[in-house]
Amino acid sequence: MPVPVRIPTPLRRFTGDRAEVSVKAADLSSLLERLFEECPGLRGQLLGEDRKLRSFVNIYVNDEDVRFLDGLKTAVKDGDSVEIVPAIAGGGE
Amino acid sequence: MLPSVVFEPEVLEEIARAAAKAYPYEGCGALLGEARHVRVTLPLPNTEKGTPRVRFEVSPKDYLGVEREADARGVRLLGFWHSHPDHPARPSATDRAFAWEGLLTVIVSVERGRSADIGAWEILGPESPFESVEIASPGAAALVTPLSKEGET
Repeated sequence: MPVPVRIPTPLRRFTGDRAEVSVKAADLSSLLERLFEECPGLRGQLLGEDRKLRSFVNIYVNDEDVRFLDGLKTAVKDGDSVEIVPAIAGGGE
Repeated sequence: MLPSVVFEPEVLEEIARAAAKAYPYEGCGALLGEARHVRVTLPLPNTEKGTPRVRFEVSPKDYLGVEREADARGVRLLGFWHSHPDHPARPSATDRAFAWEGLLTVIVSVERGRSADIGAWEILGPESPFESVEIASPGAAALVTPLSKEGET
């Protein structure tokens, strides 16, 4: 069973305006690779040159930030939900 | 020159009220609508813990709530606004660092508790500087004084 990945609005231009893309994978790293095969433009948005998750991007698996789970090694399975969330912040200084 | 963005006058008024209410801290909210027409703002809590007078943050939970609300209303997330208390309505280097292509950055200057100025910006690429966007809103000229081609401060 594929795992649905929620795509945030600013990244939908890389998914043909789809809000959700489903891919088959056993962990987050392979899930992202399948996602990048389908939507190549997403790679540079989500991963840095060091192949780590960019600091302005958060990924949640079942409402948990993967940085507090096993990072890109976090396991995913049927029925899980994966959400990509852009960091929204700023300010006068 | 980028295409202007139309704001419903009530939306500008609601942003001005929410920004003034948040003073002396930064306030923030989401902008929903379609095709460069902002029809709704959703005020959001500033979840910045350390320095909320000069920084704002939208929590991931609130971000996801905004997207669900946009889906439910059949509109799109167009961007976010935040306030600069006693500071010009111009984007800072921090604002640029967190900017996302495809989302408007709208900034309200709040001077001594009163919303005084508003401007809108967007980036056209990951390494691009902010470009000023004209705010069009018939009947709300008093609040809208678009800044032309202001760079980062």
